[in-house]
Amino acid sequence: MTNQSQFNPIRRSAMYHKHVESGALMVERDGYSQPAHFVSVEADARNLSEAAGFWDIGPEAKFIFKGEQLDQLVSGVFHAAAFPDIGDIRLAEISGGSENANAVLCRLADDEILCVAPAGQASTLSESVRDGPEHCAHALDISSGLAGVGIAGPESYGLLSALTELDTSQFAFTNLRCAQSKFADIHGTLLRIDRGASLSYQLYFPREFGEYLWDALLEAAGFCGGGPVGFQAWGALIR
Amino acid sequence: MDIAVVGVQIPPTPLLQRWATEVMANNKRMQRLEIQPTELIDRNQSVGFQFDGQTFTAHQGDTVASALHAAGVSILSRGFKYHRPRGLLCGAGRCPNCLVNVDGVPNVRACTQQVSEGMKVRHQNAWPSVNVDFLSVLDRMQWLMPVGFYYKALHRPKFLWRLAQRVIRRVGGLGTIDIHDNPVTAYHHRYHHADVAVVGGGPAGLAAALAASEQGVRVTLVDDQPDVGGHLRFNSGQHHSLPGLENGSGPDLALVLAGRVKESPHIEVLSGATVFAHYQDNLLTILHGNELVKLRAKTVVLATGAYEIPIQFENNDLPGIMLASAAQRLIHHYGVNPGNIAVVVTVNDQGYRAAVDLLNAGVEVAAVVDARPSYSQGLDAAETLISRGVTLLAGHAVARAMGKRALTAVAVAAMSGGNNRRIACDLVCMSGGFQPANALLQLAGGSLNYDEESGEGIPRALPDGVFVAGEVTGIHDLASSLLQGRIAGLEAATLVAEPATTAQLLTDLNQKLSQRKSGLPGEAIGSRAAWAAPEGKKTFVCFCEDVTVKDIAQAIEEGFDDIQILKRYSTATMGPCQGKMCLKALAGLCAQRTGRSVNDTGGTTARPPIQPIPMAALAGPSHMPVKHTPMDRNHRALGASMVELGPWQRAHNYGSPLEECLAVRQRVGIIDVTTLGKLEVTGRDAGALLDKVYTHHFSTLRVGRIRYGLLCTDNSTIMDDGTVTRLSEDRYFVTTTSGNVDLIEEWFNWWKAGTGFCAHVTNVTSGYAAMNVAGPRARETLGKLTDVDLSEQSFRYMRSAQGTVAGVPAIFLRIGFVGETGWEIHVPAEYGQYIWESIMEAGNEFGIAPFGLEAQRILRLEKKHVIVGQDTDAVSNPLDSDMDWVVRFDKEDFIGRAGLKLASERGLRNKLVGFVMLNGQVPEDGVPIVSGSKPIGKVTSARFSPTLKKGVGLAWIPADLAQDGTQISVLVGGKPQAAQVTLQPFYDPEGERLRQ
Repeated sequence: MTNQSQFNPIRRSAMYHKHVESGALMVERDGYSQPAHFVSVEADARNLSEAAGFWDIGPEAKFIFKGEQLDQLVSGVFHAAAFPDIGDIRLAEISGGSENANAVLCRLADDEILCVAPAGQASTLSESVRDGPEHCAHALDISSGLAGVGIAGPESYGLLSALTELDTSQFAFTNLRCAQSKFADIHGTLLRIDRGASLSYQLYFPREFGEYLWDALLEAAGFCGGGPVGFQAWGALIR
Repeated sequence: MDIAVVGVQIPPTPLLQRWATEVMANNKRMQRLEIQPTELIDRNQSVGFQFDGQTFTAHQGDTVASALHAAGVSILSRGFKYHRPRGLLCGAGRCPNCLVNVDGVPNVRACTQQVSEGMKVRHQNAWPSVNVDFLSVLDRMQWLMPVGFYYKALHRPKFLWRLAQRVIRRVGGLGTIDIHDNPVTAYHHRYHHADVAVVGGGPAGLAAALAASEQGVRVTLVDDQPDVGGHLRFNSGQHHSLPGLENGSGPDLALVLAGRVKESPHIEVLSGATVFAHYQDNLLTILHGNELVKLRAKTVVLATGAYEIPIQFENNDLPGIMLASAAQRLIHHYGVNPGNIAVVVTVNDQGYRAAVDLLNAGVEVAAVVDARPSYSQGLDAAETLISRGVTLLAGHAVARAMGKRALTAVAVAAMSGGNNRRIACDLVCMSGGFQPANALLQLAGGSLNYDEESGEGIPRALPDGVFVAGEVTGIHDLASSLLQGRIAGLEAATLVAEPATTAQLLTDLNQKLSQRKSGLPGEAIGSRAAWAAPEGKKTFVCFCEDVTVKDIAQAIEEGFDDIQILKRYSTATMGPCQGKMCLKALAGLCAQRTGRSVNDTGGTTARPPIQPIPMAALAGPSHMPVKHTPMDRNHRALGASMVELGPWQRAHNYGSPLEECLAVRQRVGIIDVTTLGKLEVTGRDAGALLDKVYTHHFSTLRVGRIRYGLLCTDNSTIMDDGTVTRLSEDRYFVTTTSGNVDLIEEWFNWWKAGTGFCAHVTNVTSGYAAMNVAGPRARETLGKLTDVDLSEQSFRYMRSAQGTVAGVPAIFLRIGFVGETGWEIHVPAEYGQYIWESIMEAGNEFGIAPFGLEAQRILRLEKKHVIVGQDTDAVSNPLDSDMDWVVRFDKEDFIGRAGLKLASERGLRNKLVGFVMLNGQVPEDGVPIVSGSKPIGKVTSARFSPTLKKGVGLAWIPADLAQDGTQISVLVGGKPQAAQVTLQPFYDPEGERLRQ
């Protein structure tokens, strides 16, 4: 048996190689090597403010809650005034987490909720659901299985409309809504969580399609404008 | 200048080139008019472009056709069959007369293609030039090409048709794509959504968009012209008492309506966009520049207007003969003089209005020839023409146009008979009535009635969510169109938003529309049909396919008297215009010559695309969904030959599959098995659910144990297989074949429904990277990395453990698909690459080698392990597939149990067995097992075994032959070759190596 402390495991997001190939400045963050910026922070910021910027949110913590008695399980894990209806999103505080340990709850079906939280909250969430109640409901960490991209900027709708038949316009897909649909012919879950006045979406999809979807976004951006952005620019957006 | 001969670029000789250029130069005669208030060009900006190598200067906003017409170029193309010269006809992108090659793209309509700096325009379908086309000799050979000649001639002897086909294809047809020269145009696809989609930017469409937007719904207005306004943009008549508008000329009204549309925050306008199809649930497909827009609308208003159509007389295709509206567009949109001396030929009042426009533009109007006994009473335009000395010839028609490469005169005769009267002219403006643009309506599921008087298809029934307004309804009255537009817009919005205030408004508007319609003179409701056409040799009905009145008459005489059959036989309406210019004439002729009514004759079927669009626009995006495992880059770096297995990219081999096999048998090998389907089944009834769907027991499986699982369909055939591992009391880890995981997830949930089981199925395929490390040195390799005790005593075959490998949490499964000591290791996907590299590094001292799919197939075959789907088919069950050991009849029930029980009682007909070739040959997968010359079975898999040094395989044979040592015949290279049946695995039959 081998002492495990000698190892230094490296985590890579599904789009890691795409970032490296496009010359992004890669920096260690949340245990992942992530793009700090692509061309420059300023250029990335312009994509976000003038067109559509998209970035890798693969490292975020993602949990799926399933079961008929889902609400009982979820209420033991989160503090929230109310849990979302189907297609809605609610922000909820993780019970037992540090201050501001918030998660996003998206109700996909009567008996299914997708929970997304900052990468740093993964262990807190894992601990919270480990001793779940004896209800017929279950939570599963699916962080590794879902890749994700954030999309923001005034042309976000244009970018998304190249990928999906889902009506993602401001009127039809309002803030704090979620939906499942096909995106560039693959199944994905779209969340709209605006940042201030900025139109902002999060798209989650199976990890193995990461490079494919990133390429599809780049191709769409070639027509609609915009491009990939690093965490320095989008970090400023969400602050 | 290049000369195109149907796809072949032939550099012309200098003499030929000079000749062609001179002919072109001699053609010049037109000029620009003074600035027109409604023109679309910017005279301050010049644009240079080339046509057949000659440089022209246009204004910004000019189309290729308007610029060439202004420069005096009247011949733009050649006819499809007879290669007769053709000039501008419709001026609106409907007809085939101005198809050219623009910057390598064939079949571009010159009348709608705006010029740009440096654009290179070339003629097509003519040689050596569009002005001098040697192939026009075909114009004198009509006797050789009667209607439908390709159905009845040139078929004997047989070789003749092959020859004729090649010749026809070379001399006929449209432009061709030069695959060496044609630039790749990328079309962007996007989806769009609207509450109300309005198709058509004419007065009715604009009114509909405005009315709908006033209800607060999202409106998308799609118009195929550069700017909205429709015919108002070139309609110079004065209009009075229009609903909701001040009095003014057409362009004034267009500006007012367009301004209101522009100001509306709820209306998005797509100009220069062609809606080419309507599909189920109001999906409109639109070509907009280099974008293909798929617009999904809750409701659709079709305000597509009507096409002005030509009139049939001999030589009605000569350059200089165009639709009246085309001449009006030239004048009002582009400030181009359409001709010098004009004859207007009409069957309605529109011709008179066009004649006034011509006069005002400085064109001499020699006569207005009207087939009707008289023009409509009180027609202002007629009074103006009379006052300005224009000859009006009511009850007359043009019998023939004269000229060779251009129009020089027309022969006019009274409808009642008498001598022809020759009128010299270089321009004929035809107004043959209107054909409602109802193809989209038909695609949407609407039905039509055909009006006997006008020959127009009038909407009879509309599908839900589809509304119509304007001239598409057969009404040619501006006030009525505007009212209809408002009504349609309101009704469409009401269906979407259900506003409370529209009911009374709709009642009032409908009342006004009824009053307006009842007060209309007959002419305004419809235009008289003009299909009493002479049968001159070259009286064209279909300009796209060069079909004449005589052709139609002959086809009907031959018995093709149904409009649909007539269309197919004559090819009329089958060209690029899709019947826009000729359907009404065809239906009229068919009705007239078969003694039926136009309504009984009907029309042809509209099919998408209703307007020609580039094939490239239909092509999907340049990417197809591809799945990459986390170790994909490692495989490529190791020189793997990658293959597509479904959407997955997988390593087939790393150079030598046989070497890879030996590495696994003798040292240690590693294979990426991330693509395996992986499901987590959790909940207190998870075991019960698995018992129900699998043939084996799983609720009794102890934690940390693994069992092979086989799934059957409800008719007891094999559906899928994999392993089931119990990770904890209420948590199972299930693997499936790579391609079936979604199906199996659905299958589990389907059988769970209604049972009341507390069990949850989650597809975790994406979450785990997986690799199989196998071989006699596998334990040593992994031992360097893990905290799990891998010793033979502690970690036995078909057991699992959760531990850590190289610092990463992992699930270890001790299984052996390839027949060696080995572990399948599942780690979080984001660590996949790191773990692969760690194992490769750890195994380096033991001679580790990656192995691909091919080696895996050989290794498993040596162990006689079955691949579901490869060795089984849609009728295989576990009993005949030699997997009866997985079936537990002691269970009360499982999916497929009843069928298997029956099969077990009935006995087997065929059986899956192993075989060894006796002569060293290796059969191909799928070859038959024969008895004499009779096939009695088939090989499902066969490979050369590097361990046994023999060809081995699996095959279906009759059950009575399925005995160890039985000799069978396998067809190899078409000849029977001896093989011996083997019921035991070929390699390590006792499984000792697996258990070591």
